[in-house]
Amino acid sequence: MKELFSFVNLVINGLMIGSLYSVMTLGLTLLFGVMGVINVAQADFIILSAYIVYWMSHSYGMSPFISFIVTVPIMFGMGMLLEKGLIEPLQMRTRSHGEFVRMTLPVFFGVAMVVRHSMTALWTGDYRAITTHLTGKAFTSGLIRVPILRLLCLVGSFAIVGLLYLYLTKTKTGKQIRALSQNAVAAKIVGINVERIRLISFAIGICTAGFAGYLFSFIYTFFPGAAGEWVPLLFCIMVTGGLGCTEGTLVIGILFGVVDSVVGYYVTMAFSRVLVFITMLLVLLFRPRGIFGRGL
Amino acid sequence: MIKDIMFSKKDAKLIVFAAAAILILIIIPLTGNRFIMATTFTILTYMVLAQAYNILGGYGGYVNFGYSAFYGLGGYITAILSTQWHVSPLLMVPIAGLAVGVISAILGVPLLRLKGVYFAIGMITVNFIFLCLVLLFPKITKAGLGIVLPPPPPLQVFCYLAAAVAVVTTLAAHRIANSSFGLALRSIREDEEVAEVVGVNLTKYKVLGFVASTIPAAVVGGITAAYLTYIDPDTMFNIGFSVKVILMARLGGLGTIAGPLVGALVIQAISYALRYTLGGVLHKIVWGALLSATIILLPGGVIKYVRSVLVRRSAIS
Repeated sequence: MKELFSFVNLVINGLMIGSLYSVMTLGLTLLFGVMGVINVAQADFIILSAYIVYWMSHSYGMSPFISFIVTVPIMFGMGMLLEKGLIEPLQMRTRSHGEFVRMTLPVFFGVAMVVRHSMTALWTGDYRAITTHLTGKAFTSGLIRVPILRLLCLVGSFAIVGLLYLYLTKTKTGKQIRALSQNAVAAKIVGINVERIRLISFAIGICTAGFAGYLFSFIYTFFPGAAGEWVPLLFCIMVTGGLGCTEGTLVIGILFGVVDSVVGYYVTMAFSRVLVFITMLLVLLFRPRGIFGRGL
Repeated sequence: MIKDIMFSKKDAKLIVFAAAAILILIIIPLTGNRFIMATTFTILTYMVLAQAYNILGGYGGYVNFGYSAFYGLGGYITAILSTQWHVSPLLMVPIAGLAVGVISAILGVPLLRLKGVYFAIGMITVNFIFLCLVLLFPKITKAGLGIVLPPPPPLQVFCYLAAAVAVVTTLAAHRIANSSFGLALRSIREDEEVAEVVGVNLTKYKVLGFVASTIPAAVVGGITAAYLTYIDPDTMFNIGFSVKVILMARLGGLGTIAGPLVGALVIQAISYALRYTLGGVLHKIVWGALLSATIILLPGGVIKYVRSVLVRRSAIS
């Protein structure tokens, strides 16, 4: 009986961290789907946002719970700068779209190095964590235990995914973003301002990192190099769920969260990651557009 | 016939260059200066890597971001075998090269069906699978602790060995580039479908190119492991390492023989200069910025850029 409850607890925990995985991957999926940008720096932006939450609460006494109002705009601005400074020139200088897509990877690798080591230079390599009055508290009923912060994380993740979904399907700009992701040339022909939409969608992709970092800071400890362990996992979620497919990212993120939680407990974390990576390779080989991907 | 015996003017120039380079390589270890020897060794290993990467990445057009996987695998096989059997690591390097050749031939068949960005992502995943496998078997690999290898032979040995490997790899790359194999790879790069229609055996040439580019990586990984006498998963299976090698080949000029050599020399020189002037953390920030900037500003590589500038100059004057 106790075994069963610990299993249920693990699954609940997996659901909660999995939802965070999804939000962390969301920006990657959006950027790849709309523009073909492989943003290996996403995890570094997440850690940077977590640091911003940390310093806002430590230096200015801002409550960590509302600090997403700082991180999200900062990341939005950063996204705009990066688009203007890197993506546009790269696009002009590469001969084909395929080459552009491949070259975004090393370019963003450079960005990741700059962000990561700037954080080390500014704030040292020490581990940081955010503690609030809710840290360590949980709803308990019998043997089932649900940590409050992780539950909040789940709620926050679903909120942001829902918001993004509404934005992409209901607003005019959102529809234009989707049009661009389906066919860039056709989007241009029907009169969509492609440059503007690229700028906006890139900035949105990066600013989801701002929100993910805000959620991340509550349940994980972080240090500048922490991004390195996350990048491969985020890529796996993106590819398995379907390149450019938001729903796929959500489902697979949660699934991998559960796998990490359960397998990580019963076997080891490394084994869980091997499972996840091999799953992704198989998906890549036999269904390259991903489990939920439609076309491509 | 006469052409085979007599060298053209271009060949003569090339031979002078090669002779000079080999002479320098012979003299450097004789100086006995440890700094110079260590630097030469590192640059030579990067030359091998960039040259070998260029076979599939430059001629074949398959960008391999998981190149470090085979470097790391070579290093780990060398380290594990030499510590288990108590023999000199350098003797295990050929075994590591062979083993990685076989492994990459097996992996290459399914992986090389992926194209473009999918191949890039797939190879990154292979790198992380190897990394996790190392962590998964701590009894054999010592996991995150890393493996300590037996004390290395003198530095001169490494210098000569790296030089020999570099020469062999360059000659092999030259042979491949000027053979039907190289032609097949180039046709695959330009248009895979057309190549297939014309009768190029895609799988065969892609896998051969893949193996030809991973074996030198494994050999260098093994030699480097013996040289450092300590390896750990994070330095051996590091994507940043792959990116560096790719940048070297690209910066020098993809699909040329001299390109990767020049690229390795230039980038390693910049890397050293940055490290000595800026120190630990700052040099990595500048290095990252330079990395992004060079890819955006010099998409065709240094050699192409210099050539185009020279052409423009001569056109003006």
